Amino acid sequence: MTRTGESTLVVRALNKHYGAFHAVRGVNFDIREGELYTLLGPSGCGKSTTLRCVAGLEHIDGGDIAIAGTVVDSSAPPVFMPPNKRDIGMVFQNYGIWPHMSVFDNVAFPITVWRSKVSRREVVRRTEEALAAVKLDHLSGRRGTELSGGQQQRVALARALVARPKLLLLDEPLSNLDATLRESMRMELRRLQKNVGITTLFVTHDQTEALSMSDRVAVMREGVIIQEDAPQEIYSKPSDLYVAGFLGRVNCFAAKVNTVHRDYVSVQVGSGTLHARSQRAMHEGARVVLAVRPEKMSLRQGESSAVNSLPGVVAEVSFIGEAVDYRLLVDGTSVIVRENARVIFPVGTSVRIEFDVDDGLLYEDEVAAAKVSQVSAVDPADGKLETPRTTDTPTTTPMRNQQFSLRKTATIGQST
Amino acid sequence: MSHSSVQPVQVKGLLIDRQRPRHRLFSRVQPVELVLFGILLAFFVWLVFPPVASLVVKAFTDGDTNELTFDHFVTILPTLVHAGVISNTLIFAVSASVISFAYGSVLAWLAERTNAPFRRLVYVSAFLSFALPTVIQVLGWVFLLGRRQGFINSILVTQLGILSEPLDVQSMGGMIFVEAILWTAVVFLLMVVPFRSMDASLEEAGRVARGTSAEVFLRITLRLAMPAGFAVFFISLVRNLESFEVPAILGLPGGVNVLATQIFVRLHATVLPNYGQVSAYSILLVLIVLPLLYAYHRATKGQGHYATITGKGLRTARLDLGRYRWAAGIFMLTLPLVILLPLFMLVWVSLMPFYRIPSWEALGSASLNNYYALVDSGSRVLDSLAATALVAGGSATILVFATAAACWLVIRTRVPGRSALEFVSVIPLAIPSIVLGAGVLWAYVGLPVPIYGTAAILVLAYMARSLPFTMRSNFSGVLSISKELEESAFVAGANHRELFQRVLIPLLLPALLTGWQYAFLQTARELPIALLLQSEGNQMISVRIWNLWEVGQVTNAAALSVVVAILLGILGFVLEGLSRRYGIVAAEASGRR
Ligand SMILES: Nc1ncnc2c1ncn2[C@@H]1O[C@H](COP(=O)(O)OP(=O)(O)OP(=O)(O)O)[C@@H](O)[C@H]1O
Ligand SMILES: [Mg+2]
Repeated sequence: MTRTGESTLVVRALNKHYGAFHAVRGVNFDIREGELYTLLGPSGCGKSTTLRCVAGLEHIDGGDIAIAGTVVDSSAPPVFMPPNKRDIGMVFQNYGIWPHMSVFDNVAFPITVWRSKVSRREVVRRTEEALAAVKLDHLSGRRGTELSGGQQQRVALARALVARPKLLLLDEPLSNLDATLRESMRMELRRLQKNVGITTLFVTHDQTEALSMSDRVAVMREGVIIQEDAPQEIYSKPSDLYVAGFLGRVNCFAAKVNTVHRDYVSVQVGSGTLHARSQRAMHEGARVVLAVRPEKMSLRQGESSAVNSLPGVVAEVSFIGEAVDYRLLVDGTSVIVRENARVIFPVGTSVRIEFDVDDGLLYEDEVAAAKVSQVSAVDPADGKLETPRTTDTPTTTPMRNQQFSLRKTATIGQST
Repeated sequence: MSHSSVQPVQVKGLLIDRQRPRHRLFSRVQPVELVLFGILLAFFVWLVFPPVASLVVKAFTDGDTNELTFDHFVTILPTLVHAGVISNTLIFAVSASVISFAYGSVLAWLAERTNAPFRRLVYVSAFLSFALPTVIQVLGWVFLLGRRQGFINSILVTQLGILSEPLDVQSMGGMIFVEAILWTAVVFLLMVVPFRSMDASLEEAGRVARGTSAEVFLRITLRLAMPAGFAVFFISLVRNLESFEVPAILGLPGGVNVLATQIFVRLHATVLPNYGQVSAYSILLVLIVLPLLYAYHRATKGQGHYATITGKGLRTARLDLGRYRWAAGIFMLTLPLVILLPLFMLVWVSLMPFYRIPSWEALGSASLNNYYALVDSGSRVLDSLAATALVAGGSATILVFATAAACWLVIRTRVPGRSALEFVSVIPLAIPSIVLGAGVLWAYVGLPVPIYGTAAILVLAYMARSLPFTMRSNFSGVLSISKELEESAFVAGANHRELFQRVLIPLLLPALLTGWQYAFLQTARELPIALLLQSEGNQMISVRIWNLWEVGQVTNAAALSVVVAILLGILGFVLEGLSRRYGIVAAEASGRR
């Protein structure tokens, strides 16, 4: 008995160990009815483990899980409801299509289990309906093994939805598809989810998927949720550099706080002064990191009247169709800027780099420095931007060295 | 990208995997390939054809006039029906197969898919049973359950008074019991493969899709294991139909005759064997086996469908048995018990001056004299060990390389008629051991070339016997090597010899080791061929044990059994360890996509 607005899934202080390894460390979140909620994080951060705990495929070590108001897992008093009683649907990363059954039998399984009381006629009707919803009605007689990856994914989805569960669990359902198919399935999945109105917990390590599909995104790292918010919010106001880097590229400048007026902060970067808004209180003289996303910056030739403006020289241009990525040298340091492709500044042009005060993100240095050290070449110690060593060989990985991104895949060609 | 890859080659090489499409290396046939093909085909035919031909000829010709006749069949049929030989054979084989299949499959499921305890112990003891000569294990059971002096009988009847009549292992029931145990170990080892390679998410999907544990087991796990299960069942049925050791040691004294022992008795125990009749018996046995082999073939063909392994999401989620876990554990322990018990009994007997039932008082007479006697007796035991090592090692080595080359030809080239290699290599599967022994004997006994009476005839017979299995294990091995690895060797300028030496053989190492291990152990533990083809100085170790037993030197037979068990047990585990280690290395190197 769920009322609108009540949470369909509640996870409290979830803990899970594998032997001595602490895979999930006190995760809390709620998913509202009809919402698509995404757990986003790098490989091995515990996303799947969290999802499997919700499914009842793993026994939890601590915490509580409630689905649609029913406690399904609890450490004290001990409660464990097996997966088959949880009223959920799940799509596995490799789909888990049974090869010995036809597509129809695969999809019909949840409503033909022994304790299901659905009549034969109703089974046929609902299975066909589910197959039609994923546009697979013409394949119902096929064997599970005789399907393409995209078709298997749809079968898995139909199977997860046929029993009209309260909660849908998706474990990287798009990761086994090729790039173009992935993009179209992304939209289709989102449309289907909205049409059915099913509450969904979605797990992915792909930030584009997370941002484009979700109502809310939670970024996880090492078994902990670091930040949770709506996609636009989390993208424009990441709570720390890690989250910022995980959601897309950022340019980082080691900086020192000059003056603070409420949330308006001016910082010293190299020899120039830049301005940004801070979400946290900043002390004058503190070492900080100023982070700006490449697409929030723009280039201009000649005089600049903008508040934030840096002189730079175009060092590399890479035209990617819908946009242009520039690598510029500012004080001998690489900065990446993404611009629209109307005018292209050739290599060697002197330009001004501008960005809005609201687009500058400020982070305390102590925390940031440790996390940044492996991925970015900012050396906060001497307060000066430093060119990454790898720029000696710019041809091999043209614009990736400076980018602040933890993901293994290239961000250069990504659609925005 | 697809993550499916070929199932790992397993100990027994009985299960073949054909799911991977076959890629040819060259569009044209190379002369080297033709030559290799010619040599291999001639070799395979040489192994298989002479014994088959001599059997068929002998079965249908009159021994005196050399004319075509069906008299042999007409003569034997009434005896067969009267003495119940055919029905005995069927009852014995079918019962043993059904019991061992059910018992072994459940154990394999418990060991691979659930959290039942003692998995390792079951695996180790099953493998031990697989590596040890059947004769040894059967003797152990005679000491335990023999009608007069069986240890268990003495406890149950005289000590505890539970039974009024002693159990008798030398009866149909006893034969089925012992054969079933021996085969349970093999079924277990074979069924572990499909259960292990099964993708855990298929079962998990069933549980999330509202199935109960029992429902998921019946509707998903069992169905997925079914094709492999059929194959295992049929091969065990075939092997039980031709089984010799159990019917010979337990059935002959107890008056329970089956086809295999009838052939042996007629050939071995009479002064002037009627070869025509023996051949007729042999052909009857082959005719019973053939339809089963066809079913086996059908079952293995479809198998590739199901047994897919996915590279991603390696979860070994096992079913939590909850409060049934320890009940399952006790069930698991039954196999190690029935495998190890006879071996302990052998150790006991080997320490006694004469056969005595274990007791504190008898312990006083324990000594190692029987072991000293083994070395003393003109060192003929050492000769036997050497002969066994030579014959088993030699036949396994030649065979493994020949079949690897043959598989490569079949899979990777376009040599016309290459499937003849496959076809010839499966024929021995249909020929029972004892029949093969007889066939080889007649094929070479009259020849002017001195093959009969040397170790060479044993090597020939055992190569024919192990041919189907080494071929299979190499087949999966070659299939699992991606074609690009070979192509790049050619592109890099390698010739065929270098391709084999530097690319194929190293990558095939796990399959080669598996095939070698299988061929070696099967040869070393085999009895009927060794019995029929033995000659002075070429007595295999199983023959030596059998002879000691036959002349009543029970304690010496036990001592020799213990020595052999230790040697083969160690060797088996070393080989197993090797093929595991290199299996992993080479599987990574073979570029799974
Ligand atoms: N059965 C298991 N036994 C031991 N450790 C495990 C097991 N399953 C997962 N882990 C570990 O727990 C951690 C979290 O695993 P999990 O599968 O949740 O990661 P994930 O975030 O889903 O990563 P991916 O994106 O690669 O799927 C990993 O470090 C993994 O190695
Ligand atoms: Mg995962």
